[in-house]
Amino acid sequence: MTERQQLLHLWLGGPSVDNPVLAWSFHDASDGEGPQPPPVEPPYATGLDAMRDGWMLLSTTPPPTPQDDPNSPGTYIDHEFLFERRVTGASTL
Amino acid sequence: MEQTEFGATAAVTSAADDVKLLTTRQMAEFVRDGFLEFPSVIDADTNASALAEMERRHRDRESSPPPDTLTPLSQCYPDPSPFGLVLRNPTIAGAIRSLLGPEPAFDHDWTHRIEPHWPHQQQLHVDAKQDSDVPSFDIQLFYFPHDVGQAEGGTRFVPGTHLRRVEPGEVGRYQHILGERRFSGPAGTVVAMHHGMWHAGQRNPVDRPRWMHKYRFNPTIPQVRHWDLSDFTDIHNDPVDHMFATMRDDTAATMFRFRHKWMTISASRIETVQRARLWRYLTGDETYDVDYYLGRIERRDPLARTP
Repeated sequence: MTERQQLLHLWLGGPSVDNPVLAWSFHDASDGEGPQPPPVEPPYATGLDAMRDGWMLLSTTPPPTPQDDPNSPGTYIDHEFLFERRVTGASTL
Repeated sequence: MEQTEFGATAAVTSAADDVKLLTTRQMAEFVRDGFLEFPSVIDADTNASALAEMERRHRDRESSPPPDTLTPLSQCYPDPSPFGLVLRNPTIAGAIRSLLGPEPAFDHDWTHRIEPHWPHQQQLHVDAKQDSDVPSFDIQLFYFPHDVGQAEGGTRFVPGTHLRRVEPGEVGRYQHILGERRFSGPAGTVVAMHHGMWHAGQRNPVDRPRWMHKYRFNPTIPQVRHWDLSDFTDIHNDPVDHMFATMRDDTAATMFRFRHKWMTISASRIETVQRARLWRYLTGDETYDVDYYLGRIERRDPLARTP
């Protein structure tokens, strides 16, 4: 059985992993052979809840830098936390 | 007229040329959310003829040529044309005039046909690769000539994202965002969107093709106070409307403080400021403010530059 990676991006409502989930994306290299996130939206209430379900934190974004112009528009959704879960599935190279 | 999930698009007011201009409240709703929705505004006969025209254009674009870019609105799609009937509908014509001013310029349009059971969907995106920070804006009209049921794959969009500055394709990383919508509604619905709205076409899970016609128009004069101003003094707050001092609860400022579900507290304050900047442009009131965010810095910063 080949180990495959699942990635879960969570964008949280603040810089701490226990903040609530505001946006999410899921990528599954096991082609559906591994366990799936809970079929509800959002999949977890907080980033910490995802960790409790076996997701391992890979990275998070640095704090946004204050803008020179305080009236600058917003850009992307902040506080991106990237998690992985390694699963064994039937997929082969 | 029905209501959107965010409140009324209820009362449009008759004005010159038999168009129904937007109210000040509706304009503030557009600034807050980036769109206005007009359910069932186009009649069944026009929907049927528009669908036939879309099919004709889809088969053979040369048989149904669009106007040239920069064509004045009044010269776009002369009669008989179902695409023109949509634009000349009193409510739609009034919305266009209110948002852009008289005689905006045609940018482009496009008929969207999604095949039955088409399994693919677009990633979230913004339509314009090139954009700027100035508050002037284009509008895009999304015209749905037939019913689109819930979960039938109507256009996905994220209310409140229209004033963000992003690389158009980079928002494709967000598969799901709290508060996003997938259009569903009755035949003849038109949704007018700010050009900066994050949106994406969706897969089609049903047995019939899904059709939508999208128009884009540009302003040709400053977009200042072209709407029905009869409720202006009720909605337009003075610059001391401040949530940590003296606050009214029924003004444009109240709407501009609204926090969409995807916004952090910090993000919602950024959007409040951007909405206030846009409202300054639309009203021509350079002193306009919400919660003193703009005025505080404008008054303080020059002090450090004084010799």
